[in-house]
Amino acid sequence: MVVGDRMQHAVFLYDDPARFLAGVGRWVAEGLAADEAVVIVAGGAAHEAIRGSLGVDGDAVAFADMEVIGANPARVIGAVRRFVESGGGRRVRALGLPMWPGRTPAQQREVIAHEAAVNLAFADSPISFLCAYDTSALPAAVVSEARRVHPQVWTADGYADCPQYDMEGLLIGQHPPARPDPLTEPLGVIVDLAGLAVLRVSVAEIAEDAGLSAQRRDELVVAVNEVATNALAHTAHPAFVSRGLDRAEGSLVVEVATHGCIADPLVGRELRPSALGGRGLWIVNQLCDLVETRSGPWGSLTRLHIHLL
Amino acid sequence: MRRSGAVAEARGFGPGDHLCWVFDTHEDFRVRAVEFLAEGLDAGERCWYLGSSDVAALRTDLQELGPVDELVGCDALRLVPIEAGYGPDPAQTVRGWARAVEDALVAGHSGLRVVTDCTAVARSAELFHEFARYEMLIDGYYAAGAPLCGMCGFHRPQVGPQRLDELCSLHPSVNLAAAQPFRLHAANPDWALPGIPPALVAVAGEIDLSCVEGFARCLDRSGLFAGGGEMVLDAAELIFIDHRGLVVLDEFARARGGTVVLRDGPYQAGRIVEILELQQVQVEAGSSR
Repeated sequence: MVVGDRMQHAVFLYDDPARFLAGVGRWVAEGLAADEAVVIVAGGAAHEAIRGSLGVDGDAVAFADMEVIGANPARVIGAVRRFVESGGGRRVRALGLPMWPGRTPAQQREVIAHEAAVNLAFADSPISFLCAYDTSALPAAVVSEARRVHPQVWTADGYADCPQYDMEGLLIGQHPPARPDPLTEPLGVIVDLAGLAVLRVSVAEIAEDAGLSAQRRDELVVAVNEVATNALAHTAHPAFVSRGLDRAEGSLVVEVATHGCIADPLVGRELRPSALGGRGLWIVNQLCDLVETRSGPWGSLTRLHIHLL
Repeated sequence: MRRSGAVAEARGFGPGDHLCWVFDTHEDFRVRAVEFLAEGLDAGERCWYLGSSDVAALRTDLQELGPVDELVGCDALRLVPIEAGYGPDPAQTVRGWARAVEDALVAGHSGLRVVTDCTAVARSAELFHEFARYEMLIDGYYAAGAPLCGMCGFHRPQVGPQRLDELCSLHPSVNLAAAQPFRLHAANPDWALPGIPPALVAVAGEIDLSCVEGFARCLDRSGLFAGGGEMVLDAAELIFIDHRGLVVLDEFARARGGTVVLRDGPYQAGRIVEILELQQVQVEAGSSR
């Protein structure tokens, strides 16, 4: 397959640790032989196992911790972009393990959304992604979703087109036809910019009530302020703010909903000051543990999660 | 410690205080002028009342102060047409006030107290920019502990909302009805030369999309940091600043070839600077508010 300067985004489905490590070793060696800049983004145990199995090749590879940069999957594209830009123009080869069995349901959805966004963000970039999914440990539905968002599959035989790849349906999860049920406790309706100061006080109060530290409280205040500001500045509609506790995620959630829609699927995933609201949502993604954005004919909503420890 | 923040009445002000009073009717201003000046007379300060070019009208305004003619006769009170107090050159005007303070001290007063209806200057398209710069310059003189106490009045209907917002933001104290989300005023402890911009400026309150354009205009008009280098802003009373406000500071500093330091700034400001990698802004000793 002639790659040239185009993106490759392949899923690597494995069910056995030995076969996984052998595959990764071969894939990394291919990249090093082609003088590509190789980065491996994996968390904890997987990182250790890969590093150990790569031997001397491991010295030529960059490592990043997926549990740090990918805790909120919406941060990963920005981190990879930074690696690409620091690579001096060499083709980049990036192995990622974005999904692991401990991922919560909301995190799983956001990992899939992230994978879909990769196809848009790097469409014209000289980069090869290999995204490894452990079919023996992950739910079948998650593996099936992973197939839909990767244009290629990678196996011991090399690359092949992924028959389940579904460009049309890629971001469907982020565009539900009906508005998701709102959170149960309304926090306020912000109709103009003067309401932002009042909103910040309310958010600080609920953060304190939930037991967040002063710093996490201030970070949540910044995040909610940015999303509400965008809603008011770009839509001319009021912003409806509500809050809740997401027990499955272990997080305090603040939701900002508006009648306006969010058209750009990449907004907030990269630092692009020129994009509408681009800086604000980038900040939000760096501060929050998880961000869920949904948009449709009914409007849009953004849910900001901060973990309760 | 000079006063800073929103106030309900024009009482309780002393040397170093600089109050902005926005009014809708002349009667509102007149009542506040009387209460402000009465405390000055009690404290042995020389008082000046500037406004209308009709001195008889100024005299009538102050009848409640007591024997106005007697006070004027012994030079405890002067009634001054505004043209005599404000010239086109801000630095020169500040030097004029510094001389008036010296004169008051030489004459045995404890200081100088001034109430001015600044409407005629603030509403003038030609004079406004220099006047806003003047407010920052004179505030540097107040902040240094000069025995000067001032109240600047602005008639809301004549000055217009955008200019009013800027003028209010450039005073450490402002009446409640005109309180702005943020304030930008002098905080220098020392006084060098009258007419030189203050070496330390405080930014207080909250800066978000509701006021960030005014914040940018205030910074530009302030004449601050024309020489570049490290520009320190005392941010101990800055409650919140969003990324737009920080980007304004970053661009302000870059345009002058310097860096802005938010001293004692809020923790959240430091996080945003870090995330956006703003090169020209530093937040020192960040704390949670």
